[in-house]
Amino acid sequence: MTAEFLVLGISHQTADMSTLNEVSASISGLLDFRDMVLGQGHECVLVATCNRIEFYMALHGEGRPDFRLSLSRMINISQESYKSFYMFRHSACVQHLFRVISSLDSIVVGESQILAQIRSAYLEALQKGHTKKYLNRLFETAVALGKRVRTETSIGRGAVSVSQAAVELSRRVFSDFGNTKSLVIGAGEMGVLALRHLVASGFPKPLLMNRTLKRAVQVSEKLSCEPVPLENLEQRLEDVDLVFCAVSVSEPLIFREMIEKVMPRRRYKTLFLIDISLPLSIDPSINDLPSAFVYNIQDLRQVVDQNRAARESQKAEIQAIIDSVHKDLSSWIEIQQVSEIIKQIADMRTSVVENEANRWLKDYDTVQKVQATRMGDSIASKFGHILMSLLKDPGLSAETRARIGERITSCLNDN
Amino acid sequence: MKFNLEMILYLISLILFAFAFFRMNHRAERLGFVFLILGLLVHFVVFLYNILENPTISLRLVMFSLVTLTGSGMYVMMNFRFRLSYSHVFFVAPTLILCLFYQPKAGGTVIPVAFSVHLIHFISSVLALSSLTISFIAAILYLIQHSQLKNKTFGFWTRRLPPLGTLDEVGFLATLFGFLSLTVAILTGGFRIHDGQLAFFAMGSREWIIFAAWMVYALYFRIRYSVGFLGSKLAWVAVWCYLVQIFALFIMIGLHRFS
Repeated sequence: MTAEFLVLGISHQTADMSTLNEVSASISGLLDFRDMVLGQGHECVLVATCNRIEFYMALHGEGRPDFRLSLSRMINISQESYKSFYMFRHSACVQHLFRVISSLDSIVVGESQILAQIRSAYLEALQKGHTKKYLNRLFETAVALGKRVRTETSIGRGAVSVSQAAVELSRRVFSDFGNTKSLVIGAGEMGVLALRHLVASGFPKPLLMNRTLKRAVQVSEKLSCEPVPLENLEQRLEDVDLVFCAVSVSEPLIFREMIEKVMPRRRYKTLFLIDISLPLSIDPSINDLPSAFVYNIQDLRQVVDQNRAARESQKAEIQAIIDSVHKDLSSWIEIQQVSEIIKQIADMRTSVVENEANRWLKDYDTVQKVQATRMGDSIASKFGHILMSLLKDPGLSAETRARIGERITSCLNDN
Repeated sequence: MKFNLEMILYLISLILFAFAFFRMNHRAERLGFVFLILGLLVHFVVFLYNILENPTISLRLVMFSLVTLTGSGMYVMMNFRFRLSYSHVFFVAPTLILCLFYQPKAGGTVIPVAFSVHLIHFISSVLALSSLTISFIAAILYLIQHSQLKNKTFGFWTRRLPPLGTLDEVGFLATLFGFLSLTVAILTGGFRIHDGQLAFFAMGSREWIIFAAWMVYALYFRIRYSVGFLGSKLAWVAVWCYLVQIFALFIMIGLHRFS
């Protein structure tokens, strides 16, 4: 008998965050469940991320207990949370894993973390010996698919957050971030987030300006940035290339006349201004000046929306890749099914030939006995080959093949 | 159209670059470079062989062949320094198409060129034409990207074209090299007229137009070093200067006085 794939899990698609938190909090229960599955001789991989907790299993042998009930008992969850668990078998399980690893099932379609998370969950299970032939094949195929989807399609391209979009737009302006001077105005939540993005993208030590210098100094102790007083804004605008403004002000902080005055001193070097404040803190008419670009939160949202739409439009293409990989995996599973039957036939053939030789060739000498046994083996082998060809017929459906296989196995066992 | 091995290699590289541009495919881009470099190598060997085998080969054919070699060669070298995104098709296409479709009908031969001051004029003209072509393409792409970013239309072009900074650097370098080569070409051309018993500045309208373009380029560098970086305005200068030169060289009817 071949193994049966099964996934049991809960995710942001079926449960709210409180339920997910409730389930993920009972770590020991989850591990107990995994050990129980492994104890029954099955294979199991536990994938636990902030948005999903899933058990991928390859079930061997007869008898299938109610895994959902067992899990709910072990992690001791409410009746409502119990309903949030989903369970998919066979092809549905494979399709589910493929969709998850391709990030089609993620909150943000195209995010790359899920691939790394599933890969590390699998490697951990592999190291601990929780997986065998079937789950190894399933997960190796899934990881390869995840990589392929991200290489062959543009699912992972384009920023999907405002700060990311700002950095992405900067890439369209500046050739090398290593030589680009940046300034962040505002040390609030959004300012710090922008600062993180800038540092992560390779901007060398951005300047941080805040109404109170003390706060800027506090932030600079945690992040690689240089605190500067807000009073020096005009002077700083002469040096910097990128300005990220995230403050709450009633009147614009950077106005057109200021930039008109600064530009000749900058020798008309490109100035990229990003304003994510509401109300706006950078005069939008600055965009009309040569070598100056102003983007506000609405413009960035437009970029984000376009990127999201572009990612969504890739879904059909990715599903086609998933289907083709799934087809290949199904063929492999069918071959496993056939190969097990073939192995049984081969074993049976050897024992039948030996038995018959002992029964009929009692009076023969050793040489004659060996020759006759060889002949019998050859005849049996030819019949075996016919059976194998029938089983391997690509025209047979999986169900028919399984039925024939079971029939042959039972016949062999009867004899 | 005459097809040979280098043309086929160039065509394959162009198709791959076009595919890389539309599908934003790195693999096609890399493969395109392999075919381009192969094409350049084959072209170089064939070019040398043709010159040695038949020194009376048409000068115009030699010129177009050299423009392709130097233009594409310069571009390949620039790629070691700059990341030009998926836009290779635009840079490589003009010189290759020039080579593919140009059918020489008449012209001088290589022999008299090889032993005179005209050789320097010839080589510097080829270098100027190649690098100013790259500068022209970079300026056009700069203007497209600039307008996309100014108008906040983030679509097909914005994602595929290189950053403004890169396009400016490429354009500036190519213009500088083209300008220096053009200076040498104009000076040596002048000497050639002088050798031919004519007044040093007895240039025709074609030569005067190119000289005017040279003066605008000089002004371009003057502005760049004194006022500063003026992005799109200087890109427009590069575009118009190049178009004027192409008009003077290939569209205007009349004899080239330097030849």
